[in-house]
Amino acid sequence: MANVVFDNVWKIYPDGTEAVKELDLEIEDGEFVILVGPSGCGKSTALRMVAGLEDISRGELRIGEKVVNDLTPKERDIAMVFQSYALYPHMSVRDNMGFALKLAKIDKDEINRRVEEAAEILDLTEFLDRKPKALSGGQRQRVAMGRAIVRNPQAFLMDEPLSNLDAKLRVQMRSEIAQLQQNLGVTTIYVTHDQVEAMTMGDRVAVLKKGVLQQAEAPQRLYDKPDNLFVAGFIGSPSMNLMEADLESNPGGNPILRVGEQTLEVPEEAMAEYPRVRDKVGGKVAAGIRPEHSFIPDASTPEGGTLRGDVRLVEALGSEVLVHVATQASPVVTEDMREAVDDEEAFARMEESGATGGMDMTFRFDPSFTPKVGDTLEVGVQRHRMHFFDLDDGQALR
Amino acid sequence: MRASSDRRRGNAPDQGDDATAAGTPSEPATAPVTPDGGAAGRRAILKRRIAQVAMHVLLVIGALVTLVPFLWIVIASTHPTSGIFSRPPNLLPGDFLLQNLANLQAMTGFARVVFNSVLIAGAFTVIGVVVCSMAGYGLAKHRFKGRGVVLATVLLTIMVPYHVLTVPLFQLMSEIGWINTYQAAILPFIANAFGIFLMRQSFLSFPDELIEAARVDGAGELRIFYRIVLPAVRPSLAALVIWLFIFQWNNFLWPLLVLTTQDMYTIPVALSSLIGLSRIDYGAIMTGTAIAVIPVMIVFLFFQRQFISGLLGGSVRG
Repeated sequence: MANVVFDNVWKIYPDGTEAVKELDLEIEDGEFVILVGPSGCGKSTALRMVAGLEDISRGELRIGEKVVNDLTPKERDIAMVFQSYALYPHMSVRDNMGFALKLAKIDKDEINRRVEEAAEILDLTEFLDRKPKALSGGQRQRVAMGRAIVRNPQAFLMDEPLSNLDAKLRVQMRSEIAQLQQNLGVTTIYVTHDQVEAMTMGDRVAVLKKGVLQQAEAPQRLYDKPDNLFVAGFIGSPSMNLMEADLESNPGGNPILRVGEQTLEVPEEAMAEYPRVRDKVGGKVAAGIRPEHSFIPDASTPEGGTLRGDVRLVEALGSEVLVHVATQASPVVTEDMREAVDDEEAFARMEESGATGGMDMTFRFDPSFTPKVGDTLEVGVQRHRMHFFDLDDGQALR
Repeated sequence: MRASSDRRRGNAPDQGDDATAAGTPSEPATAPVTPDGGAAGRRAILKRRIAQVAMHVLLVIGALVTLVPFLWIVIASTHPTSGIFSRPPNLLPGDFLLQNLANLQAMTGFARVVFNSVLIAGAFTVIGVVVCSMAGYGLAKHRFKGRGVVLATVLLTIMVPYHVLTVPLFQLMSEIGWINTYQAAILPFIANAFGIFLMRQSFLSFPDELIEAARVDGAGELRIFYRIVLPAVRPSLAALVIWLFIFQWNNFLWPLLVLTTQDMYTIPVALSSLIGLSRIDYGAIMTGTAIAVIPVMIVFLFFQRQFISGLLGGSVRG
């Protein structure tokens, strides 16, 4: 096992496309790091560079302190699990799992022992003599995992290995992979565009946008303290409500945000977290509220702590209810948000609602709360948990 | 409504509307039918039967057109020339086969000729399969500068008529002293443009991820090619084997030009040499022709089993 270090790594294709730019990331020995980002962000390219399937244009890639830029995949001692499983169709499960060991000229008995041990761990023993076509999607995925673990490599590389499974199996395999990685303690780089996988599986999540690393933190920290608008908009499902608002001075108090006809006072805790907000008084900022940082206001709720709007949609999910409220706020429609939304149609709708001056915000409530579509709702905002970003460069106003 | 609910319960889709409408899923077409539906159903069944009969008649005609000449060759090979042209024609096998064989051997050294043909067609096929599949793989799966130009050039050679090439090729063979050698008969047409294109097309649909998985597993390029990629394109490979073998087995013009002595002749050349100005031994020619068909049939019957699709089942998603 070994650490993996990206040291100012670039990937530039012959047509000039810069798929990965200036990537600096150190993955500790035994760490489970998730690379996440919208399609085309360079996460798979970065992973393939570690595997040796893509050349490195600039910079240095080290596995276990050894520079591997010019080494073939064979010489890197890594194992990879592909999105499509990539099982050899004409070989049995046993041969698929043992293929790499056979190439490494390992003793036949040792190969059998390792394959059977891996099959035992992955619950594949009874399928060892079957061909891949006789297996279900979940079993094929397990074989792909087995093929990686029998090798006892320096690092596991996983390229969206669960994206072809149905939702239920994905949840099951998600926890199995996380558990397996913990037990084996092998350095793992896992690529996904699924936020839930990103948040639940890894020790650390590295978020990429257009080939540039945005932030690499533990999942909760990433969620709680996004460094920029893109990370704030991308991480979280439903995503953070991000609005463009005027920041007005408040003599004798903290600045206030103007949201249409309403105002939200920025509390002391938020000012301490985002001190540069003060520099933006008189201008505009991007302010974010996570859906769960809301509540049903009561008489004790201070003025300037709520947002009002008409209920557009109520999604009862059993454990919670998501309420979409049409507010007077303006959505943030910067390039960061276009990337974070990763859906041209949805972004066009945001731009449209920005032009007409109003946006739908999503709030998460206890399932006992069941507003009706069309109701006018007053939603309390946990203002001390709000986030603030510079509209120009997208950086958090910390 | 009734029909649709029956279908939901698993009624066989080919039972016909009448049965579906009237019967339960376990009751096939024996159930009573409504008068309107019954007449329409009978008409549909009649139409289907007529279509089936017509198709079978056409297939039988096609089979006869294909098989009768072969049958005639086999029958004719058992008669002397006079028996072949007798009136009414002999439609039953005669007893002159061994004599025809002896004549053929005496006139052409036919055993050697068959050996030459098997050797030349066999070697051509083996080398051709290796060359075409490797070239096709390179053009399909390896990115290199000028790949498009190479492919276009390969395809352009299909447009150059075979006969145009014979003169310069003969000159080349002559200059390197290969006239009347096996290599002269085998090598010039090894890099077959059609074969390369056929293999390229089948490699194109081979998933890149399997190749990458093998690379990560530690396999070298050659091992990936023969251990991972080739087994997945067996149907195309079988088609290529059949095509190359039949091409060379029946090849007449090029062997006629470069093979100059009787002991080097292939079957088509040897049989053509029997057609002289004076007397033509049709019995011997027919015997040689009948023998010539046997290896082609063996190759075809053996490799046609490889025409099985779905070899990639389960390897990748979907």
